[in-house]
This record gives sequence, C-alpha cells and structure tokens, in this order.
Amino acid sequence: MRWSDLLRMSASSLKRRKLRTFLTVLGVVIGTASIVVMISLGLGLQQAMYEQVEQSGGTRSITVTGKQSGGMVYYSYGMSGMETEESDKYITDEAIEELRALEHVESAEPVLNVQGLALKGNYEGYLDIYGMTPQGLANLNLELEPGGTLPDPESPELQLVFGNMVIENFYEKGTGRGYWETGEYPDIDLKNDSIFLILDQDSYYASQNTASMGVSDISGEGGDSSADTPKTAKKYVVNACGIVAGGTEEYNSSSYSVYCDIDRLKESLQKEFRGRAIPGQPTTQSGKPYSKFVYSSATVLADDMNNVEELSQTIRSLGFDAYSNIEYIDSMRSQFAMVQAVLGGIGAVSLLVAAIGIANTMMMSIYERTKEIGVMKVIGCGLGNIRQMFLLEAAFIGFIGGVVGNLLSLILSAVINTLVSGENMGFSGNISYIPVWLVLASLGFAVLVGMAAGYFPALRAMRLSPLAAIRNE
Amino acid sequence: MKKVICVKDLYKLYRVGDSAVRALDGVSFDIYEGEFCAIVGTSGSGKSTLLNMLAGLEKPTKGQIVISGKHIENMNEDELVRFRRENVGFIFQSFHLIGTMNALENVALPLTFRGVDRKTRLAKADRMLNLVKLSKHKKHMPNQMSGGQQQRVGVARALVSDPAIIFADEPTGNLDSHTSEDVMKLMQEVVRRQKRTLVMVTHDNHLAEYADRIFHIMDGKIIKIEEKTQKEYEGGKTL
Repeated sequence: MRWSDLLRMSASSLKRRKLRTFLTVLGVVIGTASIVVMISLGLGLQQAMYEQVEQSGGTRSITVTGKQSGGMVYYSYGMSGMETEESDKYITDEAIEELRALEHVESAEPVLNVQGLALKGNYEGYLDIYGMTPQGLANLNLELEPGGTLPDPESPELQLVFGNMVIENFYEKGTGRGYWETGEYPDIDLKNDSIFLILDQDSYYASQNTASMGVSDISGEGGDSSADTPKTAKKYVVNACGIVAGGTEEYNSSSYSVYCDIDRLKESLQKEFRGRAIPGQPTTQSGKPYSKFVYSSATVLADDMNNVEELSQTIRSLGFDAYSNIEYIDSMRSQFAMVQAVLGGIGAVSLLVAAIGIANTMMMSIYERTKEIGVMKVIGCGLGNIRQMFLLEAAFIGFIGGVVGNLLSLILSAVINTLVSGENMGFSGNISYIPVWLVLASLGFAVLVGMAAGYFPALRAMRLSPLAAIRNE
Repeated sequence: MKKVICVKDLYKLYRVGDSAVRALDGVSFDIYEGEFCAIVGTSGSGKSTLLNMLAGLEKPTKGQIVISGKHIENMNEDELVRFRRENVGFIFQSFHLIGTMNALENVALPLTFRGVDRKTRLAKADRMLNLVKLSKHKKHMPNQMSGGQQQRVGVARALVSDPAIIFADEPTGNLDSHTSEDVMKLMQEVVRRQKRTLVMVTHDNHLAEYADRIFHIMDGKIIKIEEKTQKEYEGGKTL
C-alpha cells in the first residue's frame, strides 16, 4: 500500500468519529501544553541565571591571580577557594603577555585593585578602586547612566566611574555615621562634584594624628606611624566621568566598585609613593620595592564558553590561580536540569493520562471496526498495512495534539510573561521561555507517545481473525 | 482443462467439549479454470468451512489444498493475505462495503492494497462499475444504495483485481428473490464473459442451478457432484 493511501485512510477514519477524536486530541493538547509550559518556566529561570552571570563578569571570563603580595588581602567575589594552594608567580606585564599568548585567549587584561579614601566636604568614604585597561573596561560591559563615559586613557587626570551604590560607603567624618546607620544618603552628587582622593592612607592618618597630637607633643614620639617624617598625603582632585546605571536600588556586581584607567592609577601611585613600596606591591626582603610593577589580577577572556574550563587548567599549570564563573554555572546548570526534570515530570503525568486516552480510543475504534478490518484482510490488505494504518491514526492524534498544545503553550507563555513580569520575581527577563527546540521536541514526543499508545491496539487489529468478518450475524 | 483448485482428503475437526465434530470428513475434488461451481448444503453441512479453507481463512486439520499450483495449507497468515490479494476475489453475504467510502472507492480498495496509484485504480473501478451496470451510482455511499446495488458493488470489487478465482459466500443471502435472480444472472454473465472461476456457497438449490457444476455436501462429505453440460445450459437458455 502507498503511504498516501495509508494517510488518507487513517485521516478519514479519524474524521468519521469527530467528537471522540476531538476529546482524545484534547487530552494530548493539555498534556503537551503542561509539559511545554512547565519546562519553559525552568528555561526562563535558567535564562535569567545566564543573564545574571553575564552581568557579573560573563561566562567566558577567567580571573587570574598570582602570588599574593604581603599586606593586602585579595578580594574576589564568588568562590575562589577552589584552588587554595599558593601560586608562585606575580601578575606582571610579562605574565599578561604570557597569558595573551595562550590558545583560546581572546584578550587578557591586567587589573590593579587598590583602596582609596575619598573626601568630600564633611564626608569621607573608602573606595574600592579597580584600575583597568580600556579594553578591560569595555569587556565589563558596564551600563552607565546617560551622559557617562568610560575613563579616557588619554586624559592626564584620574577619571573615575563610580558604582551605583558607592555612595553608601560615605560617612560623616566626625561621627562616623553613614548610610548604614542613618538610612539617609550622604549629600554628595558623585556625578558632578569633584572629590578628593587619597591613595596614601597611612600617611594621611599619620598626618591626621600628628595634627591633633603634634601640637602638644611636637618633638616627642612624633606620631605612631614611623620614625621618619610623616609625609603629607597628597589629595588628588578627581572627577567622575560616569556612574553605573541602576540607581541605589538595583544591585549588580559593579555597584560598590570604582573604575579608572590603569595607567593613570599606576602613575598616580608611583608618584605618590616615590621611593617607597606601594601598598599591595610585593617587596624584596629588605623592604625595597620589587623591580617590576605587579597587578592584583588579570581578566582573561576565552574565545568560547566551552574552552573556559580547559583554559583555566592551562593557566593553573602555568603557576597562577584561575577562577571563572564556569564552576558556578556548572553547578547551577545541574540544579536547573533537576528543576526542569521535576517540572517536566509533572507535565509528563498529564501526557501519560492522555496516552491512556489514546490507547482507549484506539481500542474502541478497533472493536467497532472488527468487521471492517476482517474484510480488509480477506480482500488482501497486508498485516503490516493494517498495523501501519492504526499506528498512523494514533500518531495523527499525537501530532494534532502536539501542534495545538504548542500553540496553546505559546499563548500561555505570553500571558504568563505579561501578567507576571520577571522584575517582581527578583530577576530580569521573561519567566517563561520557549525555544524552538522545545517546540520541536515536544511535538516529536507527542507523536511518539501517540504511537506508543497506539502500538498494542494496532497489534491487536493486525491479529484479528479475518473469519470474524465473514461470519454473518 | 487446467485445474485451478485441487483438494485432496481434506479434514476439519472442531472440538466441542469432549467430543470432536467433523466439519469436513475427507473431501476431495478438482475445479477447472473458467468453471462456475456451487457448493450446496444445509446449514451445518460444512459448506462454509470448505469455502473458508479454500480462501485460506481457516486451516485444515488434515489434507491438501492446491490453488493455482500453490499449497495454501502450510502458508502463514502473511503469505495467505498476499495469496488472496493476488489470486482471490471475495463476495460476501452482507456485502461488507466500507461505510466511509463511496462505490467507486470501495471497488478500488483491493487495488489500493496492491499499491496501484489512485488514478489507475479509479479508472479500473469505473470500468467495473459499468460492467455491473451501476454507472449511475458511482459516487453513492453504501448506505444510499439498495441491497442489490450494494451487492453489485461487491461483485465489482471482487472482479477489479483480475483474480483467478472468485469466492462467493451466500451472495444472495441478504437479498429478496427478485434481486437475487438479478445478481445471480449478473454473476453468471460476468464470469462467463471474463472466463473467471467462481466458487459459490449456497443453501438454495434453485440458485445453484446457475452453476456449471454443483457439489452437494452433507455432514462434511460430498455426496453428489451434479454436472451440467454446456449444451444443457445453452438449451436452457433457448427455452
């Protein structure tokens, strides 16, 4: 028999029993829609997770740290405790070149992280300053408030980009009361006000102390910092060139950071600490500064998300510490796979019920058509063709149900997304996400379920005795 | 003349409770090409069992059935279906047309199973319907036709695949006597003109008169084979 004829006969026998076909298809529609909608919720969550990761440094970036220089605790978000053994190399310009030469590396940019003290009127605040190359800053994909720009590497001044929540770090000089105590934001307009930046905090405090104590005891201990004459810390006047978008409400990974151009920061530090060791820089045993400038870390961007793991290993084997979001993503991914399996499983129950419905309908149809099947056998319809005919019928039910079910879930998904916007749930984006593969997979699954449910009825039809047909009752 | 059907020592036993019933008790006969044979007997005589076995719908307990040179007693179901598709046409007592198809499609059905394309098979079915004088009812559904018309469709369906043998199981059992005559005449005429072999089962001696040879069967045995010569037939017609 030809396939076109098989299809025609299956379709016409479904058409013959419209109501029953409709009810059976309805079961499949509900089953498919519940699976698709359930999984789409899981996928929406996953999508939101990826977006979050993208914000916090992306899926392709690796943070590389070298030997920790004394006196400064390196700060890194996330779980950097994976590799606790001490690395034995500093991140120097040579190291950056070495990283850049590695395979799968798109870019490798140094990061210099220092603490600074900011003064503005009656307020002071600590700043967590990240000096970065223009390329590195661009890779961060910072979203700035309108009018803001990234620091201009050509500018002789130190230009800062403030995180949107940096302002919470400021406190009143006298009382030490800040946002965290009072709940009020300090009266500073980071965007337009010039502030004083102090990089040499030790000298600043030393001079503060001598200023207060030195009047009474000018020749005595001479301050508690050191024996040598306290050098007045230089105050740099700095201006903001941009503020991270989001206001004080919306947290992101850049909220408490301050960014600036790495070369300007380096120059400023070298000027400030001429002849002395810059805090955070390693020193030789005699206390002299190390001959080369050492960065806090380097940000390596892999060319593809799948190469991140391998690249991390390579970097570790070079003697650096490497941390990437990939471990986090992997653990999240397995969690989401579980969530999706559970959600999909709940949906699958209704499809299972629908499958039973299909099997039942097919059984009924075979009982009804016993005679017809027998006649077909007597006048020469092959056994295989009879089985195919009934399997096709069941597959048709699955297919129609799958198509309508997918349409229904697309509508439902749109409704869910408009009613429950993702912002309320604590993440951005849609909470229901239906990719094309899900549509195709669920359609295929519905057809498969239909055929599986129709298989035994079809076998039964095939085995019916043709004698039943020619008995005349 | 060429033997189309050759039956030798055919037995069929049914087990009813503890006792065995012999539905067929050692039947042997031959049917030649182009013959119109009738198997006549009362109900329970074993005539339907015989026909079922000739058509490969039931397996004999013992004995041989050779049709067109092929032993069908050892075929499995798949082979039997193929055998019927290639060699056999079937006319049923209660017509057994497919209710969702019109007359034309019903007639074309055996060709559909053979994989003939739609255009060819519908053209052939059309010719067959003309042959059985149903040219006006080609698009009618079975439930829009009278019994006689339905049986004509049945006859056309049995003929459409050019089978070597046509089996008819009480073809007029559900028709009134007048229509029965019509259908019998039609069958006789078509068979004769197309040189087909027709084996008909009936309990009606009168209808059996249309056949060339009549097998009388009783209690599973052939008790008499009545032969009508061609001459007698010709004479009958002129009378």
